[in-house]
Amino acid sequence: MTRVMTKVFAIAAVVICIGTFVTMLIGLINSGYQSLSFEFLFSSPRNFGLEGGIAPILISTSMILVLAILFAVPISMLTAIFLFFRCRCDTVQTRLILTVLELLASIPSIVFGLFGMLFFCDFLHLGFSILSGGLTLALMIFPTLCLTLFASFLTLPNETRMVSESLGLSRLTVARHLLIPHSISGIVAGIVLGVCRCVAETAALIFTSGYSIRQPRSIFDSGRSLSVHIYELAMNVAGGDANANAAALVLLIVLLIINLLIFAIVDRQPNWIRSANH
Amino acid sequence: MTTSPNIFEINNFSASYRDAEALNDVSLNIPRRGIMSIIGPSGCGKSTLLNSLNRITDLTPDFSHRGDVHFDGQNIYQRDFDVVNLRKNVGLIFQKPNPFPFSVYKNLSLPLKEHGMRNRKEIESTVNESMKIVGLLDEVSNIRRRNATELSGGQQQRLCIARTLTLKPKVLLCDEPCSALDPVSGKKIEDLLVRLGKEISVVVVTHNLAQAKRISDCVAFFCMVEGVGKLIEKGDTQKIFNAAQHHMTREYVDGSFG
Ligand SMILES: Nc1ncnc2c1ncn2[C@@H]1O[C@H](COP(=O)(O)OP(=O)(O)OP(=O)(O)O)[C@@H](O)[C@H]1O
Ligand SMILES: [Mg+2]
Repeated sequence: MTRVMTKVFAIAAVVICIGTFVTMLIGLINSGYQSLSFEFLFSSPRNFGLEGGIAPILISTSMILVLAILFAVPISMLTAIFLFFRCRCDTVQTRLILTVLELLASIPSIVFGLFGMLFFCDFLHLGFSILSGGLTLALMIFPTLCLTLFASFLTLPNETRMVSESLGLSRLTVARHLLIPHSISGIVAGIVLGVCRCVAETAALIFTSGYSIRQPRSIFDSGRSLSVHIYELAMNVAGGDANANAAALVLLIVLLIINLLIFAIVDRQPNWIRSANH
Repeated sequence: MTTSPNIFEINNFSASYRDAEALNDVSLNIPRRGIMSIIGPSGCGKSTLLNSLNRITDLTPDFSHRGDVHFDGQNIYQRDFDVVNLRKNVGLIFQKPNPFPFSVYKNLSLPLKEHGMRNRKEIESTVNESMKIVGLLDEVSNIRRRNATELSGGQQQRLCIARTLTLKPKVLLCDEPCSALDPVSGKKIEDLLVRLGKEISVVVVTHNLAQAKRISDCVAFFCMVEGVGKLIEKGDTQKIFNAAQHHMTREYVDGSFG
């Protein structure tokens, strides 16, 4: 009986997931594909985005994303490694840090947006800029990334830890040669999740990287991200639906490509780990 | 400083996990050469003692100890003691072979590099030397490409021994090194330990009394007394097996224990 129920729920879950995705995709393709063209991708928007393309927006988006990842990954990596080596020695301290991280992870992104505006834009005088946006996103994904990395580090067998310690290996060596290679797929999965959240983020960017649709010349310029563009077209520009849908389609495809690319790399991982270990 | 004939001098050492005492008041000297077997029923603190000697117990948050342990004349629990140096000099082999999941060569060279060897040639010759001692040099080819986890269990265990031997340890602690292996592989490890015992100090925890009898120069018998592990008796192998002083030792080696 419970078996049947499990099966029913499993099938229902699959149907709901795939159904939602397919419906969404068909809707987007239907209403967006006419606007989608080579020109759309490689030209600047005109007339508030009603005409023209999204080239500068794609560039701003990539810049914000790269900055966010560049800031978030190393810092969360170090934090997670620190937690890993501490976690069995200092339970109260670790508990506290983990609880704070979990709390931070559950804060809505708009709060990060407001904080980013106050801290990066005003306090640090970075203004509405790609840098402010990137830093805000980095801050936003940091807690989740940290927790994901930490969880994947915990899968390192305790014996490996004991042996490496008994050989007098330093933490740096253990992290570099054992911990990170061991948890590489978890690390990559965590980064993918972070990337996807960054690409999809709107609320945290409206207040930090701004609305400018000009081509950014540096990270100190304001730049509109793809998701902000979609939001603007759909909500604030009359008749912007077609281009909003086209942009959303691009967003979806970008996310899909990032996912596929990264998982393709992870699948090949055993080879390059082996060849890197001489 | 006068060099004592003992590499380890353990004085009134007690160890507990949280509030449960695992070892009580152990005093034991471990000579610089030869094989010492540690025997005793399960749970009497044999592994605890071995782990304390390498200070790997530092990883266990609940662990605490009393008394002291001197390595080469230095108290290993004193404040500014160099633990990394201790671990370099005191190899620890676990029951389950646990090579690192990369090439055989890297398994051996990584600890060497960690402890400051930089010269490629030197590293290579040290690795080869260790491989030769444990008899893997001819058995395993292409050690730079071969992943250590692909070796057989016995080979893996010998690899683990080779990995600590690259560091030229003064003591090799083995916690039931043969019990996860087939008899033939076990015999190879045994012979290896006997050879090593001629040069350095080897301590073997074993449940195999015949093995203890075959290989060791002296034997320490641990047992639970009122739920706490204690050192009951220590002496030459012959004496422990044929003319033990304590009745518990006699019963244990006769197999009439419990
Ligand atoms: N990490 C730990 N945390 C808490 N208690 C432990 C831990 N390790 C060992 N103990 C306890 O300490 C006591 C001694 O354990 P130990 O592993 O030293 O015994 P042993 O003589 O090696 O046994 P065996 O022959 O089965 O390996 C046992 O009662 C055990 O439950
Ligand atoms: Mg044990």
